[in-house]
Amino acid sequence: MKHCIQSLCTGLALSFVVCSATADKTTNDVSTATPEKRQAISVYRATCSYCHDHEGIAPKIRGRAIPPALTKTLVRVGLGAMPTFRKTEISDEELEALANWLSTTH
Amino acid sequence: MNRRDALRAMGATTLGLATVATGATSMLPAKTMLPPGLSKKNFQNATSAMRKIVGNEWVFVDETGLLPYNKKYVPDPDEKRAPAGAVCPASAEEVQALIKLANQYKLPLWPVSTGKNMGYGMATPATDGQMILDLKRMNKIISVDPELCTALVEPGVTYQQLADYIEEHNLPLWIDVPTVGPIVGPVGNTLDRGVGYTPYGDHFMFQCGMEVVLPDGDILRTGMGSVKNAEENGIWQAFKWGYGPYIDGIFTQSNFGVVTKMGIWLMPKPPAYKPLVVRHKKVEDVHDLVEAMRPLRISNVIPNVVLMMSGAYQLAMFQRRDEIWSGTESMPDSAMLKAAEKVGLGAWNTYFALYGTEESIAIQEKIIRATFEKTGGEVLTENEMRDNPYFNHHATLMRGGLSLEEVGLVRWRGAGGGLAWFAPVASARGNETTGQIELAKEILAKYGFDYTAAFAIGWRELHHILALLYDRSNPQEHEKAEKCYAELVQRFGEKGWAAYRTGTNSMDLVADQYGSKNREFNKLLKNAIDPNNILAPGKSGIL
Repeated sequence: MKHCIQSLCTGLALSFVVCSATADKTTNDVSTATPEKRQAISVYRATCSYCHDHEGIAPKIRGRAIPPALTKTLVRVGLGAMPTFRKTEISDEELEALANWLSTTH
Repeated sequence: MNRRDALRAMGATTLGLATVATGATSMLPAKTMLPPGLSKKNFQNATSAMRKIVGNEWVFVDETGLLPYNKKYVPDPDEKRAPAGAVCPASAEEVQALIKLANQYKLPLWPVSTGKNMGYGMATPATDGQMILDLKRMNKIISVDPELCTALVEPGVTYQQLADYIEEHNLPLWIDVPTVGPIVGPVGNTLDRGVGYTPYGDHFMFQCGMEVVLPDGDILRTGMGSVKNAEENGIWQAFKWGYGPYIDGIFTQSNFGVVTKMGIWLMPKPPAYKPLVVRHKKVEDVHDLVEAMRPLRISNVIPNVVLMMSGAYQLAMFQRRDEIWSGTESMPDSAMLKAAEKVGLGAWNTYFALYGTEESIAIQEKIIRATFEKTGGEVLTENEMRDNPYFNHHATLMRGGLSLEEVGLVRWRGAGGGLAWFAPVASARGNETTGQIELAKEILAKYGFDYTAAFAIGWRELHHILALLYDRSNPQEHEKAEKCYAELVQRFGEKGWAAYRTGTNSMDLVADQYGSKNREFNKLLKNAIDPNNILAPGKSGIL
């Protein structure tokens, strides 16, 4: 898919053309919502990984054989510094899959 | 039980951990509160009717179901702001039906989009007994126009979702994110008049068109949205002003409607991008720094929202306080400077970026270097700072990249997680910094908290962004944080430095700083638009 973007740089009012290919407006009316059920790895990447795979932000949680019951509780309770995640953000089904997957990671 | 204990317990047996998990829940009971003036029976009738609208599984009134809605980082030692429940619609039509029901029962609704505004109250309401209207299920990216560089999104869409969409479709567009981008979204952040760090950083400036469910249940489209074919031909997201009074502003930081769709402008990906930092060694250098920055920012030689980060704020992202300072009194500048130097930071670390072509950037950089070198600052780029995590954090933000690194701030004083942002604004003049820093340090010292702060220059104004960091699991510290925050608001207000935004813990107090006439006018609007006061009573001090 090629897109034509004529962009206006706000700095110093610099105008430039990024590309001049034929426009394709197929991205209109995309109606893209979070899929009904995401894979555990997708939830982990979009939510947990930013803090738990980053030294100095939050403890490592992969490869620690965390029992699924604890993961499920901490996600909903948000103990201490950790935010909570509601069912509207991570469904019970997704959380079950995430907790099971996390307990088996190496 | 604190988080560290919980994590230690991870090594225990499954049975033991099941107990830990149960114990963790019972340690944090959700407090629920009936809506004021509503009997238990009527509340039950109202929630039964809500279940028919959204489905049984999307109404929460039990303690366990409400646990995730009660989380907060702002001080509230008496837990004065407890919700009555939560209801989660999936469409604007369901929002309309819920609002009609709320009018019937006089049940107040507190709308949240993603509910992750960590230092401003999360999903909790400003007053007790409101039903949280959780809009997270409304998470459609309705359209992205790659020619006009616009998007139309629902309130539950996160910046992560939008970034994933742009990447999947290989669009040469950038988003602009706040510091907790992955878990928050453009609608909520824009409505709270939040900021990001690219040239599109003033989010409300780059918003275009809203769909709003009004307190009577009708739908209003702002700007060009009510004109025939406006959504199909793109004009709704291309022209902000429409005709007649410009009304989008009254739906920001307010309680006059529920925004169910919002248009935003997206920045074209520039051919070249260059992040820079200017490092100043002395705390008092901030005066000359602001004086040097103002003309560059007003003339757009520097085109993005500039962050002047104190060494302490930066250190608090990745380090814990007891690694640097063990005293009970505020961390002194000497300790901060010593620790900052070890990790390649100065007293002030000013981040900005250049966007354009290699040629245009070279011209801008020459002007900028000459300006800041006169102030004693070191102008540094990726050449010198490539491996510095603080530089990389800001280099990510200034290109609209996603990060949660600043979540580390809430662990500065322990795992208890306490944070409240205090953000007074002033004109962008060097002499405004000196008095503010002195006053902030005096108040923080009284309570034993640290000056972990930054200044931001949006365009002509200076935001002083103070992170009040405390350990929420320590009751004494929690109480001190509440008193400290109130004193900051009041004493800064006496000097003419009022906050541009605040958390649910202090909305009334901040509204007072803007005077009685403004409060009366907001109340006049509220009475006319929402006579039953069913939308978010107390938001921005509007009751």
